[in-house]
Amino acid sequence: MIDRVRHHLVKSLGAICALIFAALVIDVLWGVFTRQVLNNQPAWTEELARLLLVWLALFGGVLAYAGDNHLGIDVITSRLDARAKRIANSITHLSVIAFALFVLIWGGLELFASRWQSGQVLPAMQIRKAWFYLVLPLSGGLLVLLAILKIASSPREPEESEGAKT
Amino acid sequence: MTVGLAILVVAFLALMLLGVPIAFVIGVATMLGAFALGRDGTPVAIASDLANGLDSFPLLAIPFFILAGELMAAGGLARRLIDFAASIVGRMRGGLAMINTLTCMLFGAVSGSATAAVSSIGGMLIPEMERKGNSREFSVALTATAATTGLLIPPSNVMIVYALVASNVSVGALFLAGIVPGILSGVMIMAVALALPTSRVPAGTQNVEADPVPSFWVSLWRAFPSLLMLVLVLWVILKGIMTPTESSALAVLWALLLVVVFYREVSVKHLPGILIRASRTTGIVLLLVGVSAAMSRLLTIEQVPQIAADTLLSVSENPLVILLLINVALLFVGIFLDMTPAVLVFTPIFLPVAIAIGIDPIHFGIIMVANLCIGLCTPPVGTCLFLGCGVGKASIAGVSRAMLPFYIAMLLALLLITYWPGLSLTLPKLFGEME
Repeated sequence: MIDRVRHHLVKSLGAICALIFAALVIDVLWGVFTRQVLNNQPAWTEELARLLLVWLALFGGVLAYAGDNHLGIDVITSRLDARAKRIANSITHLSVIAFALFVLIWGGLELFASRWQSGQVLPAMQIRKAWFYLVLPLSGGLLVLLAILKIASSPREPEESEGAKT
Repeated sequence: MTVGLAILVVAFLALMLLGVPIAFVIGVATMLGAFALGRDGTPVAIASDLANGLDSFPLLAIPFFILAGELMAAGGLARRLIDFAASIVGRMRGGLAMINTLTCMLFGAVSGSATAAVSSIGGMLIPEMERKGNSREFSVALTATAATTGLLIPPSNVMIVYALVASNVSVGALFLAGIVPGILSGVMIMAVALALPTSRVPAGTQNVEADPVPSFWVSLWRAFPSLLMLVLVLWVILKGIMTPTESSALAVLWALLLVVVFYREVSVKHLPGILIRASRTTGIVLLLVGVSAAMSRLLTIEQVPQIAADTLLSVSENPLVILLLINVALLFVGIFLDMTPAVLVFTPIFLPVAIAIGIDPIHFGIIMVANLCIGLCTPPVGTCLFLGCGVGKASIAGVSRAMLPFYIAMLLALLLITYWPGLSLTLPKLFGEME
């Protein structure tokens, strides 16, 4: 059950990331094309690109957490016995929850609310700047959910991690 | 103030040793430090530092170069580059070691990722080197060190990160400045392999799978379109036709055309998977960028850069001594921190000192990258070392021992890069990217 929820969650999130990424590439290439060829680059291309980048960065970060791809040091933990390892893993997930709750959800929601009230608008796209910050509480919520699922799921071998690119 | 910083440092080390991923280590330590310092509106302040740290058009080049690298790697890039390298250095003594080093340099440059070089090239060449009589530990050590040279050879994501924090530094100039130091590091690694006794680096002219060494022109013809990407990216930036970000989008388009249309190695239905992999890698790097930005801001508010600068400059006024001290400090940082957060957090601390003693910011960027490359190969946070051990199925202790001559080579390269500014600055001056 837990695994199925997680599976669907990760799959949908992956699809969303792929869409954002594709949109990002098309957006920037369109910006280049309109400037180089049509000599008239619309101002929204850069604005949209920056908005999408922040969303991709945070959702991508959640995706990496789901697959245990974030870089960490396992020199010590890999030598622990199974029980101690489980405790160390729980501390990892609790740190993630703490960070997500305080910074991403609390801080992010307050940021979203204050920008919403101030009514600040992105000049070219004519949408509220607040949308820019909405990804913070959203990704925070997803991190908390995933962390709880990870703690709840039975302790077995961690998923194969692909390692990260530097 | 000191209590808050102490909490930050202790929380940082404790969480890191417990195996918490570095991005969250930095995030939680910053959070605790800020709480202890009684910073107003802590959660909002950190959240906005994080978001604003990511809100940058130049930063976009990072996901794009990652995606271009993923696309190229999904095709037969590794194979083509190995053949190309074999046609050049395959007949030398220690042929496979030479091939491995040269391929890692090229692959690291095209894919922009040292770890991708370790897993793709290492995965293909480490077993082959072992079969030809190289020790497994030596093969892994060589691959891990050689892979880091690609971070100096453009295009390089770390340099984009550096340009972001060191204001008024042109990415184009940085890219040019990295070329000679990158090649120098590669040559040093090859020299180590040649200097070791033949018993450890056997002669082996044969290419992988005992093929005859391919002819230079044939393999150049095959590898040319992939290598052209490097030239294309540099050219559009230096000619001022495109910004680095736009050039990275062009690199994506080029890679896409190559693997889907030209080589037909990747079909359209593989693209979502490649996009998801690239998103994940992007998330890893950019989350580090975001939390490092928040931490760096906290350190700046606490005036850590000033304190560090005053301390360093009180020790000595001699630029040579200061550079040595900074290098030692960075080596220490690199042992514990991955490259991206190290550049983001420590550039604001050390760069003002470097400028004060007359070091060019571009030269300093190259020094930092070359220095932190060494950290990628040392335990306990040596991404390349660990990945290499995983790919080659070798023990970390064994490989660390085999690393010793390579550490010396990298340190020697670092010394040359540090004290010979011309190595870095000649090319950017030649192309008029700086006066």
